[in-house]
Amino acid sequence: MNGLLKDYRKHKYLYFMILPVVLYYFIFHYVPMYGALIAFKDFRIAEGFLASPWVGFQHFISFFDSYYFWRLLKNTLILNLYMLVFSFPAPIIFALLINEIVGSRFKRVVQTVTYLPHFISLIVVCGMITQFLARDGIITDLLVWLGMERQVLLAHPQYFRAIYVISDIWQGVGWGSIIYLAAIMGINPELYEASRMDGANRWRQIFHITLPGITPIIVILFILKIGNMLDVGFEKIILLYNPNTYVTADVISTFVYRKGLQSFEFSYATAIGVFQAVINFILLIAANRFSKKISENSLW
Amino acid sequence: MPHVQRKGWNAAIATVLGVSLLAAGCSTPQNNETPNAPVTNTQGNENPSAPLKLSYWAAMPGDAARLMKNYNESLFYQELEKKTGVSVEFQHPAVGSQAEQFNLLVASGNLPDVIEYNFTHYPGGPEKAISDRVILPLNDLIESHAPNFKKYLDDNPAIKKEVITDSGTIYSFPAIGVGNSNVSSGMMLRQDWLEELGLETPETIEEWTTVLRAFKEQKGATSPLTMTLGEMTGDRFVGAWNIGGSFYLDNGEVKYGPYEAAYKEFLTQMNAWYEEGLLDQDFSTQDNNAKDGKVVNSHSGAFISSIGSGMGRFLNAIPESAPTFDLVAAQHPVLEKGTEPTVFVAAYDFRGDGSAVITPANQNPEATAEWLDYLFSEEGNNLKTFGVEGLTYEMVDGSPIYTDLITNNPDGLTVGEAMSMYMRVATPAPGYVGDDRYNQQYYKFEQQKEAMTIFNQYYSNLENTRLPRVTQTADEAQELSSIMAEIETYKDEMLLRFVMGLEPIENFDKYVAQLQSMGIERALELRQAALERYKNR
Repeated sequence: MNGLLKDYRKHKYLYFMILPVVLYYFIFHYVPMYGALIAFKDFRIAEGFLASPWVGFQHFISFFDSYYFWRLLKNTLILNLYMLVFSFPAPIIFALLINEIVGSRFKRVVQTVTYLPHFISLIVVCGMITQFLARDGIITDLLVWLGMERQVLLAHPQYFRAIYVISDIWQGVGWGSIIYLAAIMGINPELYEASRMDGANRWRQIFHITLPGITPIIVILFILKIGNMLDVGFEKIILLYNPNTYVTADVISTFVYRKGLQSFEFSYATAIGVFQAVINFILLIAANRFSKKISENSLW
Repeated sequence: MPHVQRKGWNAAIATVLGVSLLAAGCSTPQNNETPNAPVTNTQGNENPSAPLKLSYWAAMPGDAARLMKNYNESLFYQELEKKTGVSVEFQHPAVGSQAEQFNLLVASGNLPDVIEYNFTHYPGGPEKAISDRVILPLNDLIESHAPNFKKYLDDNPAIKKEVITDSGTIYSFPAIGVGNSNVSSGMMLRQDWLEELGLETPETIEEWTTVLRAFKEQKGATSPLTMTLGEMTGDRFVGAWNIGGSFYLDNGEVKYGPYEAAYKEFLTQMNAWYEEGLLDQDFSTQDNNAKDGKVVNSHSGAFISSIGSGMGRFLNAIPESAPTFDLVAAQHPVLEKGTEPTVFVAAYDFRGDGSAVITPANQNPEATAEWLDYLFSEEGNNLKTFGVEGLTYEMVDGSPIYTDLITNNPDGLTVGEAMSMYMRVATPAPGYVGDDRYNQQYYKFEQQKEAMTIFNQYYSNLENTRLPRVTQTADEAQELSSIMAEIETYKDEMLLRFVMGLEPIENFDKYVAQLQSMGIERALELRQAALERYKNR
C-alpha cells in the first residue's frame, strides 16, 4: 500500500492519464454487467429490471434442450477453428513478408493497399461478396474458367466456411499485420548484424531472430483469440447466410439474434450470452495456463 | 538472450495496449438517435384555448424519408395544423430500424403523446401494451370525442371486430383499407411472349408448366420463372393446393400449410420445375434487385411482383433490348381449370401498420382524440388522400384528379415520391387507405388497372381461408414464438432441400414427424384458441 502511494506520488501524471481509460471500462463495461442478471429472470419491459420475476436456469435449460443446440455449438467451434488455423497466421506471415521488402516506397504502397479493405464497411464488403459470388459474379466467372460448374456459391453449405474465412483474411490481413510489424521494429538491429557476421541468410534470420522476437505478441494474441472461441461476429454471417447454408453457417450469435432480437426474448438471448461468456472465460484461463507451462509466455 | 526477451515483452505489451486502445476508440458505441424527452403540455388542461402541441412518434416510409427530415415539411401536416390548430413535434426513427427503436422508446419510459406503430406486433399483443402502460384504452374517448371514427365503426361491425382486442377494447386510430385493392401483388408474365407463342395466360399449374417450358425453349429464358425466397415460402404458388405457406384456415380450423399432406405435392412440383430449369436456380439467395434485373433483361418471363412499384416501374421504362416488352397479370394459380383460387397474399382491411395510439403520457387525450378523429372525416380523408384542391388535385366531374404536380412532377419526383411529399396516401396511416379513386390514378397503365381487377376478383374467398388478426395472450405469445422460431428455421431449410433436390421427397414423412416433435400441434392449439376468442369478440 505504501509502495503504491509512493509510486503514485512519483508518477502522478501517468496515473492521471490512465484515469479516463479506467473510467471508460468501469462505466461502459463493468457497470452494465448487472444487466446479465436478466438471464435468470423473465424480463418484461413494463415491469422493469427489478420487478421481473426470477426463473432460475429455465432459459439455459431451454437452450440446451433446443433442437439446434449441438449444431450451433459445432458450427461456432468449427468456424473459429478455421479462423485460428488460417486467419490467425495470415497477418504474421504477411508481416514477415513485408519486413523483407527492401524498397521503402514499394513497401509503403503495399501496406496502404492492404490496409484499405479494413476500412470498408462490413455491409459493403458483404454486398461485394454476394455480387462476386453470384451466378454471373466475377469470382464465379474465374472459377468457371478454371473448370467449376456455374452456380451461386453462397447457396451451398459446403463453401460457406471457406468464403467466410477467405474474405476475413482478405479484409483483415493488412490491418492485422500492423501489430506484428510494430513488434518487428522493436527487435534490436544489432542482432541482425551479429547474425549476418555469422553468415546467417535471410531465412535463418527470420527463423532465429524475427520470429522469436515477436513470439510473445503472437502468444498474447493467440490466447486472446482462444478466449473468443465461442464468439463469431454475427453481422457478417447474417449478411451472408440463408436457409440453404444454415447447416454450416448458423452459429450461436445468429441464433441469439433471430431468437432474442427478432422475437424480443431478451432473457433467453442474455442467457445464451452468459453461457458464451462463461465458456470463453474458462478457455481463456486454460489457454493462459497452458501457455505459461509450455512456453513461459502468458497474459498474466 | 533473457534481456532481449524482457525487452520484447515490454514492447509486446505496449503494442497490444496501444492497438486495443485504438480499437476501443474505434468501436465506441454509436449514439442512437433516441428521441428526447417528450414535450409535456401542462398548460393544455388549465387553458383549453391555448394551442395544443403534441409529440408524435412515427416511422417514415422510404419515399418520404428521402425527401424530408420531418413530416412537418409535408403539405398535408402543414394544412392539418392550419385546419385543427394542433401543432405536432415529430420524432422519426431511422428508416429500417423502427422495431429496435420502438423497443428503446418503450423501454426508456419516455413516451411521446402519440405513437404510430403496428401494435399487433407488440410482444404479447395490444392488451399487453395496455397493461404495460404504453397505450391508453380508447373506448370512452371514442364514444365522446371521436364522432367520425365511432360512426364508421358502428356502420362497419366487421371492421370493428378486427380493430378491437379479445376483450372489446379499442386501442388505436387504425389505418383501414376502404378500396377494392387489398390484393396489390401477384403473378405477372410477359404478354408479348405469350402472344408471340400463341399461349393463353396460365391459370392452372399444368398450364404454367407449358408456358414456362415454352419460355425456356422458344424464348431462350434462362430462368423462366423467377422469385425470391420470401415469395417461395409465402402464400403464392402453394395457394394452388389450397393450403397456406404458414397458418391458414380450413373450415374454421387452424392449419399449418407446411404440415399438410398437400405440401408434399407442392414441393414435388417446385422440385420438378427446379430440376427442369423452369424455376430460377437462384431463387433462394437472390434479392429483389437481382430478380428485377432478370425481368428487365428478359432472362425471366414470369415473376411475382406488386402492381404499383413493380409492374408500374417495368412498364414505365421499357428496356431497349426488348422494345415489345409488355406485361399481363395472371390469376392466382389453381390445380383444376374452372376452380377459384382460395389462398393468396392480401392486406387485411385493418392494416395494422400505421395505427396511432394515445399514450398515458398524453396530458390532453380528449383533444388528441378529436384531432385524430378529423382524419376519419370526409374533409380530413380528402386532405390526406388528395391534398389541397387547386394545388395537388382538381375536381373533374365530381371526382378528384391529381394535378401534374403529382402525376408529372416538374422536379422529377416519381408519383410515389410526390404523393409522400404532399399527402399521406401511399402507405398505411391513421384513417382510410387504399381509396379506389386514388388507386385508379396511382396505377396509371391499363395493364395495372387490369391487374388490380384480376388479383382482387376472388378476394372474398379469403374469408374462409385466411386467419384473421387474432391475438395471443402474453403467456401464449411467448410459448408460441419459442416453438415457431425453431419450426420456421427447420421448415425453411427443409423447403429448400426438397425443392433443390438435396433431400429426396420420400423423406417428407420424416420431416412431418420432426415438425410434430418440435411442437407444431401445440402451436396450432394456441392459434385455434386465439381464433375462438376472436370469433367471440
